[in-house]
Amino acid sequence: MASKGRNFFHAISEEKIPGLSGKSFAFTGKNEREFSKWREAFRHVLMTELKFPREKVPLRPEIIESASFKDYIREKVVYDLEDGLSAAAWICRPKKKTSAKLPAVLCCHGHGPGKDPLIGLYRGKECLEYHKMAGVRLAKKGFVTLVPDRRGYGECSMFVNGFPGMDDLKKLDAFYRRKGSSLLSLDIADGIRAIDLLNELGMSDPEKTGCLGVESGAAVAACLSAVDERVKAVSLTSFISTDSGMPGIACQDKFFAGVGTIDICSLIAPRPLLLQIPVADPVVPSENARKAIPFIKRIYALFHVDERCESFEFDGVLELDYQSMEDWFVKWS
Amino acid sequence: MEKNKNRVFTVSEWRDRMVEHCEPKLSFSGRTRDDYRNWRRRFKKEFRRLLGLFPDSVPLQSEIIERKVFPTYLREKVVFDSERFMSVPAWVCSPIKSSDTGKHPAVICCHGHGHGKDALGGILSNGKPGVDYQKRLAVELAENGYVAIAPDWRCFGERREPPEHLSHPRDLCDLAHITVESFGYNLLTLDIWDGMKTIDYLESRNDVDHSRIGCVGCSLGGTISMFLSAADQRISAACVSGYLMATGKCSFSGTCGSQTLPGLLALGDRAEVAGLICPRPLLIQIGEYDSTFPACHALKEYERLQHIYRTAGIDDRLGLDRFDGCHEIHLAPILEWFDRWLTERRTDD
Repeated sequence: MASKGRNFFHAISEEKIPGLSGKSFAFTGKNEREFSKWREAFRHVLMTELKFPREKVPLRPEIIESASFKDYIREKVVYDLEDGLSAAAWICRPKKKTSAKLPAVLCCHGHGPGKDPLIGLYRGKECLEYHKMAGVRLAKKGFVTLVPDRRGYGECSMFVNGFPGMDDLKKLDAFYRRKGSSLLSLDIADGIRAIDLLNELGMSDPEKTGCLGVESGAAVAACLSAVDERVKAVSLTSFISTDSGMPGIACQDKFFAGVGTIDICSLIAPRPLLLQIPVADPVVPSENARKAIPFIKRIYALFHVDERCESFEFDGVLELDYQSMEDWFVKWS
Repeated sequence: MEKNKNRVFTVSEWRDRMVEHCEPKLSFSGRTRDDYRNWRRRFKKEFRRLLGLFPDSVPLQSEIIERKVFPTYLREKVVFDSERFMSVPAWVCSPIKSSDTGKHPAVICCHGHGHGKDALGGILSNGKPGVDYQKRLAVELAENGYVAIAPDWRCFGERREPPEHLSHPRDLCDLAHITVESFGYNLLTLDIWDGMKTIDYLESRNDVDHSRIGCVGCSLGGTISMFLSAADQRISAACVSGYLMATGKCSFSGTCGSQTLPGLLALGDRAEVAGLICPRPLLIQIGEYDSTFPACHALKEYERLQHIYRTAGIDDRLGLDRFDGCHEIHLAPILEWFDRWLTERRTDD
């Protein structure tokens, strides 16, 4: 049926948000002072839109499992997020005792079965995949790593094998939107609580907290670092892009559909920010990622701290480049 | 039904138990060159038997239906017939002709799962230029002096069924496997046949040196690259990426109807099939973080393959590229491999 000017169905996947585009939040100022004003205003909008749970419940952390390996210790911690909702996370730390407090990295996983692949497991068996065991490998290099399950994943999941598909996550997001929030908002709020947890556990130096994220986990890591200044260094894989919306995210939150990754990354400035770009990334076209880099670098240049923002392009698909990420956190901790 | 340790109720568990107790008749365990020669003769015959029925040959009637010149390469779309009721579309990427060269080495680029040949030609599923896990291999090869051909396998790209024939969540390869089986064919064999016809087509081109034809692919493309190179001696150097691993170690859902050879496990496994490529050069790629083909399992099958090449006395022709990556083509070593084995005429085979 070809009839000009008529629509016969709603294209649900490509919903455009009127009046909201990535550009509307873009920083266009010319100096540090203008940046500070923009940051304050945008952060205020972000915090208002995030619709976090109103009351924080006590974390009540419990270490329920502990295993000692050759050069690191791995523990499982459970803690509370809301009244009636708990979370589970891995904590890995080096075995060797030091007098100085250790730097920490909060690791936000991407699609898959949640936190387990970051320590090299899936359903209790050895599993090597695109997170490249970052949780364990950083611990071996002297970091405390905290790897929580995001909502809908791993042990915090009602889906088969704790491995949600996009449709599962959309259902979960719809559930939270009916409650006035969204899946991404809550993931960000949970990430902020994970940093509270790190500080409460006291294993690491609160002044040396880093955050990494891959794919949809990068969106969570970026947004929480954007609003939480306690994050001192950031590594994002498969995130930055000239497109609007948060890549890899099932969330239908209209606000996030209108915010660009450049805007979110701008809020992280002038803190150290590594942007990893795999050339064959199926989520974010590397061409669009490459084009976005100058926008971020411009902001770091305003602060005369160009060295704090780096992009790293490598021959990869959707995957973390481990070495450049480790080097980044070592350099800035 | 109460779970009883001695009883098996699911196909996946049945498979696991079968694999444990399977004693393949022609697993390679030789020690001497003579052992290798004897094994090769026997396994080759059995392999041919397992492939089963091939279609009747028909004239290719090839046509170039599209031609586009890019700054660094030329891209053509060709179509040829592989059997009475089947045609094969393919991209051919070739070097921009310079006056001094006539014939080029050629490489068959076998696509894996995804949207077919386009990925190898640097076209994404949305039609835009881009790179996926197959790293626009045909384009890269053309830019390095090869005629690279990337056909669509059955059920992929332009050979995909129209949406009204798809009944999700059923897998199209599985449906096609059942469909061709009714006529006595195996789907993988038919894809190998299309690969053989692709070589016929290459031989019909006057810009290709027939004695220097390579084959490469990742994932399903690795399957086809391996089986095609094993079945057709005209391929003189091969690369199998993200595939070599014992069949029994694959996850239950880690295969499809395009990738099985009925009866193979009674005789041997993938190392034996890859062993038929010997004495021709073969590069195996294993991504350290490939969760579909875990490196620990892949290496075990590689060691079995290495034993075949060693016993044949030519293990310098078997290469291993273990790289820091996932389920993907690792481009640079593939270009080096073909440069080493295809860019000068080799007469010592």
